[in-house]
Amino acid sequence: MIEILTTPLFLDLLGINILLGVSWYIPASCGQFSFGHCGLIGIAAYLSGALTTLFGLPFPIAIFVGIGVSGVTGALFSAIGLKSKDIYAAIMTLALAQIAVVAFKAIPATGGIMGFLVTPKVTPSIVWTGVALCLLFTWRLERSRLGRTFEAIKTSNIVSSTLGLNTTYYKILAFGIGGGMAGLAGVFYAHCISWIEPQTFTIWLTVMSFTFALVGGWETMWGAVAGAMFLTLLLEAFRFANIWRNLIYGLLIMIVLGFRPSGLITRENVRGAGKLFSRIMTFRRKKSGRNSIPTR
Amino acid sequence: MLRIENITKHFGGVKAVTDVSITIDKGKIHGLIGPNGAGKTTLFKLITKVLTPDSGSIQFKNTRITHLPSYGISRLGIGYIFQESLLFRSMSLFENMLVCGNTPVNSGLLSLLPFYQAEERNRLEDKVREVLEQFNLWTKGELYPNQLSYGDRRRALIARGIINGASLLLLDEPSGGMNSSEREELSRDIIKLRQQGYTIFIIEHNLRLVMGICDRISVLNFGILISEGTPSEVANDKAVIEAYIGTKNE
Amino acid sequence: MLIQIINGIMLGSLYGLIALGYSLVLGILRIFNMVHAEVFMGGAVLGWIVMTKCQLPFVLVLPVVLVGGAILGLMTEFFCVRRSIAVGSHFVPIATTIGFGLVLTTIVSNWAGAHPLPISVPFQYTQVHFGSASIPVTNVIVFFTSFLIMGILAYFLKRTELGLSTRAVGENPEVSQLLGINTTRVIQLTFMISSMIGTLSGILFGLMTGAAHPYMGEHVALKGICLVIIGGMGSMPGAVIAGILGGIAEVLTSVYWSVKYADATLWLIMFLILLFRPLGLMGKAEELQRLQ
Repeated sequence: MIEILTTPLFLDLLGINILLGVSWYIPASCGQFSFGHCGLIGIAAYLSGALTTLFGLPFPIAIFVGIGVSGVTGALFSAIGLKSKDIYAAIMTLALAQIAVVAFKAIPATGGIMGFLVTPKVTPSIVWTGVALCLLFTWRLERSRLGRTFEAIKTSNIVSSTLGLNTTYYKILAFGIGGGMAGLAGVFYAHCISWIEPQTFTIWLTVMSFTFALVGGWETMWGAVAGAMFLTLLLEAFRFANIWRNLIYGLLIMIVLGFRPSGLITRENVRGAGKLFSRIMTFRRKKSGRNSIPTR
Repeated sequence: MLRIENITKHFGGVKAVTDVSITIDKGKIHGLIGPNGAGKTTLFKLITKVLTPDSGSIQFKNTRITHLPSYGISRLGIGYIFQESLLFRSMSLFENMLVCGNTPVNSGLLSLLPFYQAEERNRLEDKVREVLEQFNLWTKGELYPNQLSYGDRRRALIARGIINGASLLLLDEPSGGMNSSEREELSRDIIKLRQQGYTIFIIEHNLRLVMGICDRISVLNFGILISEGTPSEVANDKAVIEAYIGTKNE
Repeated sequence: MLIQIINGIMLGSLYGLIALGYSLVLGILRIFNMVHAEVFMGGAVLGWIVMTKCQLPFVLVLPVVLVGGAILGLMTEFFCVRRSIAVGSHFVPIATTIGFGLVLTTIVSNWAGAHPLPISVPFQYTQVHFGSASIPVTNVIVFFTSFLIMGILAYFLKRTELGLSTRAVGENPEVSQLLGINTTRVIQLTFMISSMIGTLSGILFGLMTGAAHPYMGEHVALKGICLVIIGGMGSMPGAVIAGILGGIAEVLTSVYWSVKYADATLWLIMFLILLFRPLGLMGKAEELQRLQ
């Protein structure tokens, strides 16, 4: 099994799964449930594949287009729903997920139902560079005023409004950022598995994303990362039980979230780990008086 | 400062607020009392656009605000602290105070840049320190809301409203659940705020507190304004006494 | 044309029942019960087990389906929702119920295969005649049963002590507890009733179409959510009316246009409603406020 863990394909998929988890986590950190992630991933995948394979554009351009279009689509669909209430944004993303698959099947240029082959191949170094950049960005986000605003809105929409925050704008922003990141995952995915077809982008992809983020812990970004890594490894280990894959996912979601709604890794855990880390560092450093407890 | 004109809100068969007009002067403490269900909280929700009025208009500092969304009204300087208000559990008291949409400090994507707006941020943090010290809460800045006493939490909410640039504070039953010493502290804080020039519109059931600190009082019953005047005028108004018959007086 | 509208109303009564299952939990607990679709499927599968696999008389279907629904409801409450309600999260139950749905779908499809499971009743091919036109008697039974169930639910909520307690918990759980209502029991009961409605709608659907299928729930689930929104969230009469209108729309679209577009019309209507009248047909502004 160790051999499988070091194949480029596995490393690519691990990185992509981390992106899926973190990109789902971002709207969740603002209290928004994104059903449409699969659609956003698919849009970027198809766009990137088409631009590089059918139109011959260089790969970096395809990446940016993928991120941009997915981000805007995510923002747009949620905006239509958010005109009224939060939950409608989630439903609109559900609609997006449905429409996307139908749309993919209908485009003849990309092979319709059969799908098509995407030529530029992506390497693990590219994927993991992307992952590192996204993690850095999200880490910065969590610790910034914007991250605090997201958290405020997640805790209470009404109180945030009375504090002068335009909650609708921030929610759309969250969907946009999450959508953009999902787009990046989509682009990598297309150029990793090379054959993309509409069936790949069904709601199951969204279920995977939110399983990583929610089961791992949706109070911090590390939950999504840990969840993605844990589940990808778990499913690789249980490859033989592929027909029961859905059952494992379902049971994990039910049992973990049913009894520990904030997921496995909570803010307390991260803070505790941070304190432990800094205590080790200051012990090593022998210089006293340095306040290393992070505050935002 | 705040002019409410002929505000009406009916929910199907329930006439929550009917044709209410109240004027609140700058720098004064204005009370709103009335039996349960009289429409007081509804009126506050109409001012802050949590609910939309059926008819009538509201002006704040001579500008119409009835068409603005909730966050727009907060940004003009109306701070609303109500019964379900809360401090965000996952943040410390200090961090809670930093959440505000009414400062020049950006809360959007640009705030991710590390050195952006450093001066404005420092100014905000100074203001937070100033206000928290005024409320005797600065020493508790690193504590989390579940570690604070109930009275401290309610007063912290008022502090947050002030940091958010409010010039008019709408307080909906701020003393609910407080013991008498906490209530004393609250009264003192509110009077200190008036001395600093803030205008306060307060809903209260605790009549002793209301009579003690208010300059003027309006009385609602069944959504209709039945009396208005100084505390002594209102206390002696027959209509008010009748409305309260059966309710325990503090 | 008239006969198509009647067919539509009959299909719609079933859709209304399904939407009602969602609406009950949504209105009382502000939770989207995403496993309702699989409970629906479970009802039909139970019907298949009783009638086709075990060859038992038709009359035994009702108690089996009701008990099955109650059990699923209790499981949903315990495994998916209890802790989330305790911490006040309306977000997490969406995921846990989806998870439960996955579990049920996998179990059924791995055990019974991915092919349709036939449900045959002795009166399956009997037709009722209205002058020159005829309607399958199963449709008529579905119609009357759906309305019967809706009527019982309405009676329960409006006229019984327990129904009043349920509505109280939906309004304000803290105050209800202070008034001596056992909120846990009420929540369990709400899920039980909703799931029983789910399994019943499943078996009725199975009767109408003559088959059960492990993935039949997904298709219907999305429709149910659309209908709840069109009818207005938090409004149970709205859900029923939306269901009936949805049924009529679907039948008319299938007959006069094409079967492929039947689903799309529903989504389109929902889109339009969200854009122009987010409250839905019968939603009230305060209800929407509470769902925040």
